[in-house]
Amino acid sequence: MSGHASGASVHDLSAGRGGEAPHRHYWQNLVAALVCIGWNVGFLLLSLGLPAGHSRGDVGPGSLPIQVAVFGTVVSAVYLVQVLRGVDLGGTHGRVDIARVSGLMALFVAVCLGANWIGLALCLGIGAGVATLLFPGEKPLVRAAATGAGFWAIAYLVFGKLLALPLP
Amino acid sequence: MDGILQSLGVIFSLSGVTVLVTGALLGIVIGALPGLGPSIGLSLLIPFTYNLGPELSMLLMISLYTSAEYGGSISAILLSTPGTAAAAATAIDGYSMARQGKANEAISISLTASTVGGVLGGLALLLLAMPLASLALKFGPAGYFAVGVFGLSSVAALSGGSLVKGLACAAFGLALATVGIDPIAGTPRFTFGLFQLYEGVPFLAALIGLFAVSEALAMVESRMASAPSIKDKVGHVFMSAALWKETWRSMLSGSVIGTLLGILPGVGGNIACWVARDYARARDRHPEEFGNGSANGIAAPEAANNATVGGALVPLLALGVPGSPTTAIMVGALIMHGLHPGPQLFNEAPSLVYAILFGTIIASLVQYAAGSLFLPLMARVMRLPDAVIAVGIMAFAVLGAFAIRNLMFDVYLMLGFGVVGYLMKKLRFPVAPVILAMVLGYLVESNYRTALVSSQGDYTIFVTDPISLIFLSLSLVSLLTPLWRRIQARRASSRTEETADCTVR
Repeated sequence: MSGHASGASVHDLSAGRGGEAPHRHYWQNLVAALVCIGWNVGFLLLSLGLPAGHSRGDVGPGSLPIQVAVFGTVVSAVYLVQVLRGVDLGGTHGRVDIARVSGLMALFVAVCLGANWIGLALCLGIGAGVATLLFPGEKPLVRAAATGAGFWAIAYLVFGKLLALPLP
Repeated sequence: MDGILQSLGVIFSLSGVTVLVTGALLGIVIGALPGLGPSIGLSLLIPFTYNLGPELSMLLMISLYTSAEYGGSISAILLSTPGTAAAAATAIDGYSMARQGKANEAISISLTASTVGGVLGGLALLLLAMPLASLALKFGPAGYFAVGVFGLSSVAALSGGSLVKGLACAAFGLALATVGIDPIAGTPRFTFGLFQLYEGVPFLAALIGLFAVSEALAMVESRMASAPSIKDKVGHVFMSAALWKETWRSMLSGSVIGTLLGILPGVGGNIACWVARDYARARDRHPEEFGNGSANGIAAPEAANNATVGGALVPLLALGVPGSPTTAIMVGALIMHGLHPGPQLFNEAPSLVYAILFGTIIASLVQYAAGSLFLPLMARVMRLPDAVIAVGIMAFAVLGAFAIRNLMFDVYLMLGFGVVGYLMKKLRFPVAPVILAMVLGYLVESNYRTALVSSQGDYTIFVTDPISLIFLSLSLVSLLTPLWRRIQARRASSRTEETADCTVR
């Protein structure tokens, strides 16, 4: 979801308010600002390597990327300054469940890697079934088996056969 | 005239009606599931619409978009959990009514208001798109460049949260848009020798990752054991004449507000619903009822969020500039069919344009029929546990990303964008500017460079061209407005503090 469904966020269109930033947000935004600067500087260096334009008046293929990179670097620098000044620019409040999030991600990467050996439909079925075990709930094994079989059927019959998608 | 007849032929054909009904049912379900919304629904659906052809594909998407805006109100009313951001205002009075045992009544108001809003928004689209498109045909490359910049700046400024984060996201999206063969000289850029990137970063893969996969990752974290229970039984919903009499003014004002705000880039249903509710409350004879189950507290925001659909399609059709992530996804679909949205589409594919214009109105009527007949079934879908929904999103995301070009490269890229989207969500970076910038990047760059070639490298063309000057000034206004508001808020808070200090002394 692009928007966060709360009245408060809808009405708060201004930049972050001043004041003492929560400690956690400070470090999150500091890292994010540094990553933004790194990305834009890297992009600028790559853009500078692009050739100049040949036609009269044409600014060349590197012109817009350079301008975007400079703009991005300036904006990221402003972001960093705001963070260092203690402006709370928001961030996550709760604990990030790295194990579950990376587990789900790794599972679907494994699904893609395994697709070349046993087929995407079967891989997706197995992956979907196993992925449900990452969630709490009653009768997890029954739920996993039912979900896995259901998604294998959807992938193989609907997408593979009905829509003729050339699944690996 | 041929275009009109052809489009009506497509809409009322068996396949036309089938895609409209399918879109409506999918839209209501996707809208009703908290956390999902039209953007996720469309991003997962697009890859599979390729074989349908542009007209049917757009009808399916419009139907899903419209119905998802209504669907969000079902969970808002029954569970006090808005299915979409645009249904947040509906939850207040909707849930209050449901607690009084009037869930059916609340949903009937929501469905009717959504339909009225959708039809009026569609009529506005029908009336405004063509004259605006004729005007836009007179724009030169400098004007188009400025229109693109305006679309980007307003979305970055208004997408919620911090302005600096919105601008950083727009820069990130523009950087991604420059990957691939450049539009004027044909030089490959940032492809790192990968032929898969010659056509640019696959927009749909990025879209699915940023919207859908990021949501699934957020769901695995929330760890809801089971779906919340719905106490009320819901049946078929038709609004009584007394309720019509009570709410028609709110529906009308909500529709007008929604249409106007929908036209503005960056302002969608999530803002329109609050503005419409506040307006209806100010005009109501019993404002004290708002928050305690007021029928007008449901009618106004619901009419507004559905009217934004028609409004948001106006700049898309007339200028080729999407004003919201959902309409940006539609641009992706048109590009997939080899079409570029904008005023030239009226000459290139008139039947498609008329299918969109009439389809928006008819989709709202189909939504009414589907919504009233299948509501009990929809309420059951909301009982699906998070595990199945999140895993379903991931599975459809993999299949959808693969279906774009039949390349596993796109699937890996989509998963990468999913991680980026998840981190953006955690750090409160708005996704909309990234998507908009990826879509508008081509328009901005090609027109920027064409304008400079035509002026032989003279940059003053961007201020001497009146259209360009107007839109660049508007861009500046859209960027400065949040800063001005921030200064005003600071002044107000310091004044309050001073007053408090004086009172203490």
